[in-house]
Amino acid sequence: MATSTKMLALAILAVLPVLMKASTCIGPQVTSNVYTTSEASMSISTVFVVEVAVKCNNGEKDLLLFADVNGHMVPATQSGTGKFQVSWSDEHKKLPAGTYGVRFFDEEGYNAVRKEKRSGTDGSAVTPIFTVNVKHSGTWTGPYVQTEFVATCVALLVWYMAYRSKSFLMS
Amino acid sequence: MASRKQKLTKEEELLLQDFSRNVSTKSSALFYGNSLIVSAIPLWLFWRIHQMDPYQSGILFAIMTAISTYLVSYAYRNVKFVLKHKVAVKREEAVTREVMKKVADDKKMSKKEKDERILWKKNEVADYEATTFSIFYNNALYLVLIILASFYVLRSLNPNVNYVLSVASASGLLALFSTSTK
Repeated sequence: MATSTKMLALAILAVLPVLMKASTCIGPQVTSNVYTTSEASMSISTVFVVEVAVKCNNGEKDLLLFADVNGHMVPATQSGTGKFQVSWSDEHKKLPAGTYGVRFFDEEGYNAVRKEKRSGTDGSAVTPIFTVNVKHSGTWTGPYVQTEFVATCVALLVWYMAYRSKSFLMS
Repeated sequence: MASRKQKLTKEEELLLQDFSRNVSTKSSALFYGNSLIVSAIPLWLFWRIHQMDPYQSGILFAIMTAISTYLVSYAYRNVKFVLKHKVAVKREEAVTREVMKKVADDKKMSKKEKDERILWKKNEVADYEATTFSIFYNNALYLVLIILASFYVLRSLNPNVNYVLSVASASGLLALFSTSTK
């Protein structure tokens, strides 16, 4: 009885990896759409939004993706079949202008990165299934000089010229 | 006792006109027209920049524009009156030279007539220059006061309150400064 139970447990353990096999995308074709905050005057933080449409050569559809965002692994939200979205935000000065490489991993890759990080490394040795380069041109903080200040200066200048002419006439 | 009506000479008429603060109908129309335009400028400013709804604040806009129009035209009149005499003194030589050049060949005209003509021309030039300069000076001052009041002094207030106080203070100060004789 005990022997048959042990045999059953072993059989289940042997089959389990096959049943729970992580879905892998082979030869992904990626189209990406990127949005980054462009104006800082009306927002308190810079937001990055990356939308990707993934088509796998092996026809894999049940993907589970994770993105490496500035050293943090975040799950990618599925917004449609084969469409994923990742977003993050931070203070304007912490996300300056430049190109940010967002690495996308499947479950296997995610686990590998976690293992690497636990062992003390940054996980950069793990190959992502694809990378999206996000080009951020920086945020506009408004004009160097406020428009009302310019209007005030012009108005004051015109008035001063009028005042000088009046003083000359009154002399 | 019968009252005698004496007809005023041209010279006396001009002198009366000179020392009176009253303006002609044409000048009055010019003043009110200009002051209405200038008083309407803050409407655009508060509608587009301070985001006031023109339909909701229509009555407020109308009342303050009317008050401002009156005060600004009052300022125009005062500044014109003060400037006119100074301008007349400054332009006297040039006007005399110009008129004398025109009437030099006219032997039939007496000296008195020539002097009257010079006086009339001097009055006309001084009146016109004082009118236009008064409008220019007061407009410049009004706009400076409106911008300073609405964008700096009263910027933290509700737009309706900001509008009423900036227009009232700008036009009020304008009228006050115009009463100065210097």
